[in-house]
Amino acid sequence: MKILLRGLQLLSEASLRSAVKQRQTGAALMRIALGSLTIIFYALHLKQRNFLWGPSGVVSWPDNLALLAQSRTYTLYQFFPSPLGAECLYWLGLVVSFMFTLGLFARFSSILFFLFTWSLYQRNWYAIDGGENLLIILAFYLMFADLSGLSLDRMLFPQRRERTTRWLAGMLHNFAVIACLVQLSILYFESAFYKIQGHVWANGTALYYVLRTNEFSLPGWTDLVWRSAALVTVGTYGTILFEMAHPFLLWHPRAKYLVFAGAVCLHTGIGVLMGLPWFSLTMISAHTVLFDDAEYLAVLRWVRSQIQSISSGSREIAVVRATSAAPSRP
Amino acid sequence: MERLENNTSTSQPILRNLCFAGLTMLLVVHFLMTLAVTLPPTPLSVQYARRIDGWIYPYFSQNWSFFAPDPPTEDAYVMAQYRYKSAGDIIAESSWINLSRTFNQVVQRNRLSALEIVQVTLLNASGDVARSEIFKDGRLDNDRLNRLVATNRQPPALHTLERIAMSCSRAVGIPGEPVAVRIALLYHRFPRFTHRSQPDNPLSDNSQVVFPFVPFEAVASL
Repeated sequence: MKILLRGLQLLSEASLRSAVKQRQTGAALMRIALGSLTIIFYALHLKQRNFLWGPSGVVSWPDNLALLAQSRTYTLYQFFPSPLGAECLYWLGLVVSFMFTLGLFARFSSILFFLFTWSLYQRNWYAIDGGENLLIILAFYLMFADLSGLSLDRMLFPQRRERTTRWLAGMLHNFAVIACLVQLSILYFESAFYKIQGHVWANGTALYYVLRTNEFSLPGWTDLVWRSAALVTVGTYGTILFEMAHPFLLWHPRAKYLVFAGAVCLHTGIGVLMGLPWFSLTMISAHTVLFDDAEYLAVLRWVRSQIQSISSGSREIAVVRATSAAPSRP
Repeated sequence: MERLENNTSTSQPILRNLCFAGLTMLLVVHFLMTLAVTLPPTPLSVQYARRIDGWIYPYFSQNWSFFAPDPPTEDAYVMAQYRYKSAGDIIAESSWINLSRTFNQVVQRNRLSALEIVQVTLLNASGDVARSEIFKDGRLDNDRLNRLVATNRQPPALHTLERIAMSCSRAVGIPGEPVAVRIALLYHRFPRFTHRSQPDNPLSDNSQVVFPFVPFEAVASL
């Protein structure tokens, strides 16, 4: 009986704690980062929109419908199969991405953002590089998060209250944030799990084979790496070590800084050397929920103090210069 | 925190605890399902495969193996050859054009090129073709392919490659009106790491697969 009561008490405490929203800034930054990436993606392919997503596009309608039926899914594009329909969906998708990024009607726009982004990728099954897979999954979780931080909603409707019960909204938000973090852990865990089973990953030469591929090479740079036995070994083992450690260190209050720095370095390398910028930027964006609001606030204070010290320093220099430039009295 | 406690603990503690327990259960189940589809099959995941697939697909489908366990050991190039009407309505055939190399070079010059998405499409579609039903024991099943092409039911991945080639006909400088195109997949094996200073070997076994000509379709230009 005592154990049961203690269990109930613990449950009650945990549920109370989980009702207070955590990491709102991280979730808001993720919204801004993923939304911005999607806007750039839409804008970059403005000229090719008919080729990529139009009815006479690269994936023919019958093929697209067959693939959708095979995976038992849908895209908004199938309900508007005319050129005008595809055109409208493209522009609406862009508007929704803007709304999502700016945080205008954040809850509503997060649902639309998921729907439109999902539809875009389902229309062209082959135009994927792994980054959009994570983006879609995170966009799904973010529909349940409170994304009103750093948003237009906060500026335009400061007095607006949530319709949902306050503790339930808090709980959903926190679970959505945890889901994003667990998803990230699973991603790196799986990646490391498969790598340690590979013969060339174990003997430290896998990076050579990856960078030797024509699609993932950057002439003049990647050959510098794969010609060097030391760089190939360090790069191969470094990747495995980072991916193995990531799912565990992610939860440590100090080690997570190391995880973040490692993720930025690894994905910058992948983005530049292997030519997967969208994948890399999505991966880095996903790490914004690693830090809590107090940590972001501390960073903001530090940046402000640095700016202040720089501006006061430059003011002092200006005063000194003005004084020295002034004609001295005889 | 205190204010929230005053608001909630007195009004709806049971409901709140139930929600918390429910959401925790949901999260645990969801990520166990995710692990079940991302990790290699186990007796348990095989036994509950239908339920797991029903939960995960389509929204949470994922694969994060990233060049593992075995990274590529060869370059796969998508080649295209065009049949076109030249002056005097004579049907001529172009030389083979390496589409993959063309797009790779564009992306290597500019990492943020809008054509990166076409390069990725070529790569993914060529990978899917190699895994499709037209290959039997690693070799092209010509009879099957011809049957599918005759009924216009070639694998979507192959059709996608053909449509990319169709959209590129002007860009690659076909001198007349194109009437048909055919695709080939060319494989260049790399030397092993210990022989890394050697060039790729274009004459490795099973290095080229040529698909039949298909008539031109209206495809939006790139």
